[in-house]
Amino acid sequence: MSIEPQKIEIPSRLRLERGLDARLLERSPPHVLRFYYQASREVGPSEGADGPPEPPAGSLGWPASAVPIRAEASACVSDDPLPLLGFGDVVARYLERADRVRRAPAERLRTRLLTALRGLRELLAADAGHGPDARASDALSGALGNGPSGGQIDVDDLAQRLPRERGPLRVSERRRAHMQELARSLDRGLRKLAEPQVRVWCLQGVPELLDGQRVSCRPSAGPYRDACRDADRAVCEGLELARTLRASQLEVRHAYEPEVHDAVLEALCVADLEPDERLALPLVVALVARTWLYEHLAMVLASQHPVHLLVPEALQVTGQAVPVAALACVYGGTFVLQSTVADREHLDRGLTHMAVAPGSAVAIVACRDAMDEGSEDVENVMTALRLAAAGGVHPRVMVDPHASVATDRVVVHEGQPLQATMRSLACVDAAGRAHTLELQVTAADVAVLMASWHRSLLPLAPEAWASDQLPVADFLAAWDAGQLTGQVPFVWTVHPDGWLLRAVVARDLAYAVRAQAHALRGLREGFGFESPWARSAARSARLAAEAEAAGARAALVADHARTLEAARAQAGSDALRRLAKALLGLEVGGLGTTRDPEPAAVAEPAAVAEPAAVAEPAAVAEPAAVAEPGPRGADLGREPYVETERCTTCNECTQRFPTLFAYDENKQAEFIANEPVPFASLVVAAELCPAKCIHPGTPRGDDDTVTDALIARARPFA
Amino acid sequence: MTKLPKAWYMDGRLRHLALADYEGTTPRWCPGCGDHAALATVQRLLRDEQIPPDQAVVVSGIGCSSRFPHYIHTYGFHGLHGRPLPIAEGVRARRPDLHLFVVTGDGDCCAIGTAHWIHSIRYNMKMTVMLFDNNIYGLTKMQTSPTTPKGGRSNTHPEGAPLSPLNPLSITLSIANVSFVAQTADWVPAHFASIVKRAHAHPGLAFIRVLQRCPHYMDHHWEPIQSDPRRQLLLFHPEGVPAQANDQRAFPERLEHDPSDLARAREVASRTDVWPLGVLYRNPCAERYDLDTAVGLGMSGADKLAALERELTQFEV
Ligand SMILES: Cc1ncc(C[n+]2csc(CCOP(=O)(O)OP(=O)(O)O)c2C)c(N)n1
Ligand code: SF4
Ligand code: SF4
Ligand SMILES: [Mg+2]
Repeated sequence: MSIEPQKIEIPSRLRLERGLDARLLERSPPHVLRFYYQASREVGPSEGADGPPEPPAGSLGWPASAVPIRAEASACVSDDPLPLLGFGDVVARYLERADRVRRAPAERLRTRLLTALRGLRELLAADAGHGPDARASDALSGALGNGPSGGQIDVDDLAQRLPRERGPLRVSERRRAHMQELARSLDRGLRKLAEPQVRVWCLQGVPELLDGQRVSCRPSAGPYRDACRDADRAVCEGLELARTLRASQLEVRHAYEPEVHDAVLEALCVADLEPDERLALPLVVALVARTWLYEHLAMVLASQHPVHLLVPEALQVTGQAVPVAALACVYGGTFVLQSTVADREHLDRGLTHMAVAPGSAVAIVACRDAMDEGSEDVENVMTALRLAAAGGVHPRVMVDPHASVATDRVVVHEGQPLQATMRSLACVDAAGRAHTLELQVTAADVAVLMASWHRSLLPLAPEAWASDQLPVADFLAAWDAGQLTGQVPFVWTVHPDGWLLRAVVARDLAYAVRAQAHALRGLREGFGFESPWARSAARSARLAAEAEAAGARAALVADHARTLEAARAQAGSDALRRLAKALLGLEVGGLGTTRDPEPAAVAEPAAVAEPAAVAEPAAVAEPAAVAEPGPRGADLGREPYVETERCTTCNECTQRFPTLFAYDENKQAEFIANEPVPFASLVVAAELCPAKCIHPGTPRGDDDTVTDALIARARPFA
Repeated sequence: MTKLPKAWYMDGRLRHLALADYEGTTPRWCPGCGDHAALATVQRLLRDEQIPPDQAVVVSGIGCSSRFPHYIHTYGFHGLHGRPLPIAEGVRARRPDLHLFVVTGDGDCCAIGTAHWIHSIRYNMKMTVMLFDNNIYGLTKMQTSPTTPKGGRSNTHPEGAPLSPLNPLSITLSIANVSFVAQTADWVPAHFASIVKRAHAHPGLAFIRVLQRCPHYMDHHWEPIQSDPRRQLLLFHPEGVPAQANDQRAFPERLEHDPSDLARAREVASRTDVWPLGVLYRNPCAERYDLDTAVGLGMSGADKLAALERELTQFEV
């Protein structure tokens, strides 16, 4: 692909008229524009000769102060039982459904338990006994011969083999104890079944709305870990209960010949539950952020236990959820949902499906960050989420391994275009002529709406537009094709007056956008859509097949020509012979004998198809490097300070006292607190520092935590 | 032409790389762990040398210290316990262009990985090997390592280690074809940096033993040495790390030691009264195995096929 530097040929001033984004942007113009003012304040004028040309403030009529933020909460934010997530109502519905689908199996299991328990009690009540039933013991021996030690005993089958009639029971002390034990276990199991069957583990702030008779919410410091343990326990208990149930059924039915009976019970092990029993197990849900996700993800996925992970993914341009979804897909039996709060319909549908998933499940939901809560950025983030959903930057994927055996039914994938989504912007220029810009939505367009990326965007007034600026999508294409020669990428933003402006994209954001694009491609290929590898393999296979066919055809043609030649020669000599015979009565000998056919033309060997060029694997994109500028420098004198150049970067002070110490751009600690600091903290930090390079200074007069002992401790660090 | 702040240009090679460019995931070592210091030191080296992240690779074994590759934004290989060196040799054999660092621990290198250690030293393939010696198995929660001092209590020897420790420096110095041996400590950042810089520039395998604090399991273990400058012996020499103006204050005990003198190096390494810090031995002319393995790197697929064909034809009957 070749790059035309000025692909979009447009007059320098365009006013936004209509289009997909016009609608989206209308909802939150203040934010887009606020970004514009901020960025221009920070980067524009201070750049000097080396930086971008100064925006011609007067000509564009920028207001002196930023436009106030429109405080209108979006629909997704309000009425939210789980304020932490922004989609609590959907979660509540999901939990309710999860509980509902588990009720019937649980009820069935309860009935079975009750029946067994009742049977046991009856048996225990019938105390007298005669001799063992010979036929029963024969049948049991037969069943054992078939190898109950190999795994499960099919109780129903066993009962079929056993004779219908049986004599009254003679119960030995041992068996009586055993039956009582079984009855107790069954009783316990029944009580467990009455407990809430959906258990939610979450970090803190238990949403009481969800807590109820059937759903219990538990706060936990490590929800993943606790959920995994809980599910482990639930499965163990389930297996134990299943064993007890089967043993009781054996007891209750005809198996009462002591020796055989003991052997059967000993061999009775339950390795797996029946599907219905599986659904009767309690469902454990971990509702948590991504922290430590990777560590526990594999554990959860491999277990196939009834653990559902609900992972709110704070919107990130880099789309890290994609690898999580891809990873989960690798573990066949796991249900995977990747959705976004901007597509409530999809989210709701996905969670509805997930509620009935009997094994492990992972849902990754793009939403706003808990950190954004209450901040004025919430609306911006919601707009970004909507744009990401509409533009295909956030794929929505559902992998339901239980849906079907056909892959296209298992993987449902929407909102993620096979071709990139184009948006068209209708504009008018200063002279009133209409123009249409066809632009591809990329993660960079989403980033425009996110405050965290603003430092990576530099708005350019039309006067500063140049031919080496490429729209991000074109820039990425050129980048991947290795054809960059110093161009810079940009996205479009909007001025308060409705003028379109370019915003140049910094390196970190460009990398993030590329990572996102590649991740999407990876997922697409993982699912078998649009894979360049598959395409190149198919192409080389086709070339090879064509070459082979061409070779075979050539051989056929040569063969045919040879036969024809031989036939012609034969016909000629035959005619000659007949003529000679008729004319002269001669047998023609040497004359006109069939010529030896030419040696068969050696067919050209089929050209060996060139092995398909192995494309270079895409270079691992660098995650955006987030560099915060160093805070203010360390003061000397009587103030507390750090001898920064002696700091060994051991993370001690920065982790224990993050408000007091931070690293500078050389990753060495500095004292950063502006407010008065308790002297005691400074002394502890100084004592902890292995390089002894923290100096607590002199205590302030108004610090009443200061004691003589503390001053004595501080003395070595003066 | 658009004029931008320098850092905004796309090609990392064209702009100044900052420490943030080498930042990987958030380190999960304990606060105060010496591994943080090592990480920062290597990151600073890459930054100072302006090595693009995609031109460096860090190979490690298993252990606390071996989690290093996760935390640095370069290529990385978190290998098997004791096996970082063979993996690194593999990398080096075919990628002479990469900047190669190996991170290993005292358990990783001096216990389970001893065989590889010895042969790697002899192979002398260009790489910077850092042995993080905290005198303990950190990751597995405090078992005696081969460098745990005699009497040091651990979970495996609650009554104290029964044997004297081995000395990684002496061992390395006695292996055939050894070419660079140095020792530094995580608590002397400037010294650490100059040693790593010297090692990185060395044409061959540079072996650095880093005395590393493990505040979690060996709290105060190095403190007597740290707090008593007389127990740290600074080695300086124009051929090793040259003397610095302000050395005098931090290192009152100093020794001019010519790193080309192997016998002296062994002598210094075996001293028990002080801990030598500096370059003990350096021989830039030692044989290098990687020069043999890095042949024919530019061959195309067709060339390789043809060469293979040629070789195989010799066996034709
Ligand atoms: C083959 C093998 N054996 C044992 C282990 C267990 N193991 C993991 S780390 C470790 C010791 C690590 O000690 P060290 O190399 O000193 O690293 P540190 O944690 O102290 O940095 C051991 C024995 C393992 N992972 N693999
Ligand atoms: S405790 Fe000391 S050495 Fe460690 S990071 Fe803080 S200042 Fe640096
Ligand atoms: S256990 Fe020791 S070596 Fe491991 S991270 Fe903690 S302090 Fe460092
Ligand atoms: Mg160790």
